Amino acid sequence: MTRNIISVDLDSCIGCHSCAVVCKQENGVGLGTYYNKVLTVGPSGTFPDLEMYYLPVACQHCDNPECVSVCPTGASYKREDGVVLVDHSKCIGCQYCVMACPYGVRTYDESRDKGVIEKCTMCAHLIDKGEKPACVKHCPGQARLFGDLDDPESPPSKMRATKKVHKLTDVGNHPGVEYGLDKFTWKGGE
Amino acid sequence: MEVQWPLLVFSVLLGITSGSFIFLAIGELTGKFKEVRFTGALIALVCLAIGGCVSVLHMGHPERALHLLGNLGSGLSKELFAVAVMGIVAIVYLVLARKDYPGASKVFGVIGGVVGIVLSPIAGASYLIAARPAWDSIALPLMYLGAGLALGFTLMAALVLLKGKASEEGGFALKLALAGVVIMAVTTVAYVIWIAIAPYQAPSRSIERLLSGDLALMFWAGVVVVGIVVPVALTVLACVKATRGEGGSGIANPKSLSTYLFVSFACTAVGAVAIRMIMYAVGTSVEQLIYK
Amino acid sequence: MSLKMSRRGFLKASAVASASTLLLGSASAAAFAEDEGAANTSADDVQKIPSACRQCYGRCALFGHVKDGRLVKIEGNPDLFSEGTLCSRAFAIPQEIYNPLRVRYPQKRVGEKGSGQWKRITWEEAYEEAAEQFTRIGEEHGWHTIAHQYGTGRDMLQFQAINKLWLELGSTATFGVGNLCWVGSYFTSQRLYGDETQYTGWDGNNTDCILIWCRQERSRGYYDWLTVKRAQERGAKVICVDPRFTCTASKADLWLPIRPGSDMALVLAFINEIIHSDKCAEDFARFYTNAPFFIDEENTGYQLRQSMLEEGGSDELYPAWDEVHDQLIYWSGDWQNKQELGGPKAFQWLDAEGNIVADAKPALSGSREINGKTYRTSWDILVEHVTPWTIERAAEFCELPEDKIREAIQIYIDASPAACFCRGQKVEFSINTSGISQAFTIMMALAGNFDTKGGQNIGREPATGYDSFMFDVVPNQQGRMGKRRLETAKNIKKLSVCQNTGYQQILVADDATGELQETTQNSGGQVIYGQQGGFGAATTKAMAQGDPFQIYGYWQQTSEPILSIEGGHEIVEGFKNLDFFVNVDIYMTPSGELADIILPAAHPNEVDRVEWAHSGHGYPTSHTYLIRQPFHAPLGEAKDDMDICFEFAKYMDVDMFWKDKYEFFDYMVKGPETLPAELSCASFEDFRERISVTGVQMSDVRGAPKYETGFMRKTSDFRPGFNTMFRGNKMGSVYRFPGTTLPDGTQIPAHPQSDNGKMEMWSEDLLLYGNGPLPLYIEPPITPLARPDLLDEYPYTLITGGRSHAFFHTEYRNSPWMREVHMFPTVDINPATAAEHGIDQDDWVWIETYVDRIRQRANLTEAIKPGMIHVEHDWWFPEREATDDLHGAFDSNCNVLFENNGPYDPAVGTDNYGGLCKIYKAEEGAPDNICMNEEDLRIFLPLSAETIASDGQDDGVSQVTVREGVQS
Repeated sequence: MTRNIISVDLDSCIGCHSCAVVCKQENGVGLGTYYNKVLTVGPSGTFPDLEMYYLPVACQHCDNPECVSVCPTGASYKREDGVVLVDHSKCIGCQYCVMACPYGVRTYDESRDKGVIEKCTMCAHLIDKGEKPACVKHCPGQARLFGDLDDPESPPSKMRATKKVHKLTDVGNHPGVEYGLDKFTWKGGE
Repeated sequence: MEVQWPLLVFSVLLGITSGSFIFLAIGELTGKFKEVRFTGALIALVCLAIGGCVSVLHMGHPERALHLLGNLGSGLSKELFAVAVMGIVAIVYLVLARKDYPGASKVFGVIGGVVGIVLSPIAGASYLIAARPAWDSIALPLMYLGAGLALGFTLMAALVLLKGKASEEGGFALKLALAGVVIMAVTTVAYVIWIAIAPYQAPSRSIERLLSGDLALMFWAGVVVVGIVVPVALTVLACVKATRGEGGSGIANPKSLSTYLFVSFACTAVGAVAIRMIMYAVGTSVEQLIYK
Repeated sequence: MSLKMSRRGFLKASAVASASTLLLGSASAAAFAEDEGAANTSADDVQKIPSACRQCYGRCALFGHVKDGRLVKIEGNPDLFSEGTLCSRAFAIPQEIYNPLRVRYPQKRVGEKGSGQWKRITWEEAYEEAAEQFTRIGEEHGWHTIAHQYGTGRDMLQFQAINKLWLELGSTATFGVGNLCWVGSYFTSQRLYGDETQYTGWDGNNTDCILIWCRQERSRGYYDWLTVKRAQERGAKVICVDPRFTCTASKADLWLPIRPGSDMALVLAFINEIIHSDKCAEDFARFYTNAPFFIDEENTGYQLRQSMLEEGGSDELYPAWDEVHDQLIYWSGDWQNKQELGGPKAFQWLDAEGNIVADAKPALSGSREINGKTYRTSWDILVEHVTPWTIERAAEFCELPEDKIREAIQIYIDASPAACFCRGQKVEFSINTSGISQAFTIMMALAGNFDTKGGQNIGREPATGYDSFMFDVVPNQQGRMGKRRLETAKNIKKLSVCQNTGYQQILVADDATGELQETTQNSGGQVIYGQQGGFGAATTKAMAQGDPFQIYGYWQQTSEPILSIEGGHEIVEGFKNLDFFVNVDIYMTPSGELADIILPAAHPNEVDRVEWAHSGHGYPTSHTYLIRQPFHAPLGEAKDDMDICFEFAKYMDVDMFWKDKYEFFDYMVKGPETLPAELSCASFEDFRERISVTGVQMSDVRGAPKYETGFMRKTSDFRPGFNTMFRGNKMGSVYRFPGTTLPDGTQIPAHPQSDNGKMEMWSEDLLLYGNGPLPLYIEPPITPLARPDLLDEYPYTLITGGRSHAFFHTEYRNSPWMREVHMFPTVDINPATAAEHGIDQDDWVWIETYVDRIRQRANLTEAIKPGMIHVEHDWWFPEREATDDLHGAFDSNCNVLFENNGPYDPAVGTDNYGGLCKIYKAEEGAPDNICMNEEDLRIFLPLSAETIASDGQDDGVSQVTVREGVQS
């Protein structure tokens, strides 16, 4: 099986927002819409004993995506290779998937293809050509790692083997993205 | 999340449909409420139709509704299915109620009641989403059902009284209405308790927002006073009056009692809107990372 | 990769056709407008043009995807130093090129200054009027009454063209800009040893320790972070010195949250510990620096010369004591053989008879009596100076725990000679910028990190050997310096705006006691970039107050001094006084609105350049030239800044020496005859084909530091030692110090020659510029220590040095994507401090100093110490109209919080950019008429090709706005 994912090495991420902006270019994402956003976690503690890391968030391409199970039309679906996508031709814009997503990474975009749901596509149009997603290709910290979690040689698998990895809160959806963080304490739920 | 008005209005109207049909079904089983069958079913159908139309406003591409068969397992598909069945049953029942086919009418009335019982909970069940802890409890669909019972029963009972049936039928209708508002009160409180005890507590979905935070006015005034205390009080009052008569005369004026129930219905509706607005407000997902 | 690219001919041919065919041909007009993704550009009809990014100093390699003559996508080029990575700013390039606020045709102001009323004119009309006006001003008032200015904005080659044009015309004054960044360090290390290693040249690839001083990983040249993190993964330790918990601080192994402005105390402690450790590079000091030289402390204050000891003695002979033969020996600095002490004797120790003492071992330490007078070595003076600067004292000055300082110094010393250092510009914003740069240089040198693996590459080694300075050096070497320029140079003391900046009161820490003492400092005249008179405050005073003389004319190219330096209001006053002002820029800007004529500049990705990374960056980044070539011809009638200079030079009869930019590019990429063939390009066109050239590190090639193998010498004599011929003036035309009288009446005699091949640690040159010969601890003028009287009203320490990852100084406030990730000017404040004033997250607050107040939006963060405030710099609001406070140039512009009356850095004129402030909630909220949300930012979306083609800007640039009631 293939489980493609973009994992993030938070120790390498410098919070520069390159991923968020290149995504707009690559996917023609409108103003106010984000497939991908970079949050700052912290600094926590008291000056000068501080911890801080940046947390880039996008669709987690869950193993058990609630957005797919609630979608009445099958527009939201998970591909064989693990990528969760929205087929805009089937999407009726009911927004139940927006409600079902635990992370608030889907949005109802009226600005572009009016009335459908937008979210990270893992740049499926690029990975299908054998390229890396745009955010991975351009990441200045080389913190974004694309590949197949079932392939032990893939960058995400290698990170998992060498770093402490964390996931966003799992309410049964089993998020796919792994966040590597050794230097500081993970502040999210597991 | 923001209040989803089309969905909110849809769910309230659906509650009326649901409660009305249950009321009519009870009437069919007990051989009562003949006079309101047609009007009641018509109101229920109109509510269903308006609700259905309003809910379509929520969608970006209703014209792609054909795709709705794409995932029958989804809550929304079930909801749609239930609405469709309810609609068909309602239309058939309406026709039957117009003519006089007691047997068929009874069958469809009961079917309507059964569909009515599941309709509201099915609509509420769409919100059973693990990502939004304040929704993820059976208390929510039960609350929807409770509201539907109160709405439908008070409205139908009011109609019954309006027809001048104060005595036997009216008394029974009033008892049903009372049962409806009490169930509504209990299920609403149960849902509020769920908000308080739901997992993944966070300030955005905390009970404090209701009790003393930004939602306090809506909660105390809208839900508790207008939505629970007033309907229950009015319905009890109507029951008391129906039993004891005006000023202890033993004779009650059914029309004035119907006013009590109409007001009770209206207050229940306001309360239902208020609790749903609160439900959306506290319906934040476990981690609101990009969109709030 | 085979890429048949647009050539020079393309530009020439298409310049005519540009507006019509190139732009109208585009079907998908709104590249990066909301309704269009760039994703679906198929390979067939898309040209992929390799080029370089100019959105910050990093110069990352990228490709522009061009479809139907329009740039539709930016992509990283994985083959060069940036490894295919790009930061967010690169993706704003199309938004910058097709921005609604872009000036595409020459404009002449038709309303009052600042009215925003313009009319399109032709280039010829613009050039003719400018030539006439500047000539009139030059002839009536003198050519020095025309100021010129270039920003950090575009590139070094363009700077050369502007500089040459205006120096030849006899202009002297500029607002400086460079003295807020880099120039302080560049100037200083040039004077100490003839080259630089401060921002650049750190060998992160082989290091065991990286000391990062006030530099952010995500401000510019982000690929440096890859070097840093790989070093960390190898086990190298990263030390970050910064008052704030920046991204770099969070990544570092050790963070020293230093008190702003106290850096010198910490560097002196580093030097002190290094000197007293067994790692101290004493042999380097002995044989390659002036450490063994005796100093004439009692009389001239200069390094002792034989001429000062005896009648008829040489001023090219520097006495020292030979430990081997116990005798006085003399270092011959006469490499030019002017006094017959050159040839084989140059850069040798000679005995009293003039014989070479091959095995001499000059004593670093020990006073000697010569002719009845006792002289100390410069080493002993240095050691005496730094020894009181203990870790304990540094801890007190810097408000740091002693153990953290000790740990940092120990890491650095332990890792040396494989320890490297790099710095940011924040240390630069001080009145002691040249002093701190001197201290850093001494620290690196004495730790033994010069030209070592993992240390510092101490020489700028351009890919082909020729860098941008050759633009001016070559004509000067050939005697093609214009008459007016020569005249101006000779009379510079009279013609410089700096002539009245002589003495200033500063607070200097007494070495022995550590107490701050008020001291009078002598200003050296702020010589920058070959002209005297280059700093903002002095030029502002000249324009606004006629002090020391009135400036009447002004040529500004890609700069915005109202925002980037202190005293913005007074600069506006000065601009209003001008008779004639030409602004060359890409956009309408606050100062541009006060100009008479605006000339439309091409975007950096619409022109040809030889490009290279401008800061940070070890090998191979530091040794790479890469192509920056156009994605298409400039929009409208915009022109390359360099071309504008060459064209206007013709109107002004200026001899630019080079026929055009390409002649110089050809020269530059070809390199000297000695350059290995594989590094030499036949021409710029050859270079275009090659995309990049990466040179070599001579220390690798020769297996020894460059100062041992003669590669620090720019004289091609390949003598071991340093190149100091550029002392006094970088361009080789040396203005020696004519002598002066100190405030206390002390006579300082004229300065003798000092180009002697030695690195100076105790610096005679910096002495001449007023710093004193050694780096002094100077307390910034507005701190709790310096101004306790202000503390009651302005209790908080205010700093301004942070850099945003979304902007580059004043740039990109008109980019919808950059503003989307960073919408508002943001002030960092500790939650505890904020709570005292009822300030919540995202509140708009006033930040007020005794000079002025500004508004920014509060970010409550533990990243900053309680009682400290950090505001962002260079904010303006292009969405506001010219008549709306000059595009909102003052609401959030932090530089108006500081006065421009000195003191300044005596050598380079840098002002003080930190102070004391109070902070309180702005009840009125955000400034009026600014973009408040993503929806508002739509006004900045790129124009479609049709819109661009249909708008000839006959009445100026259409202002976009979010002001209520105004249709944008």
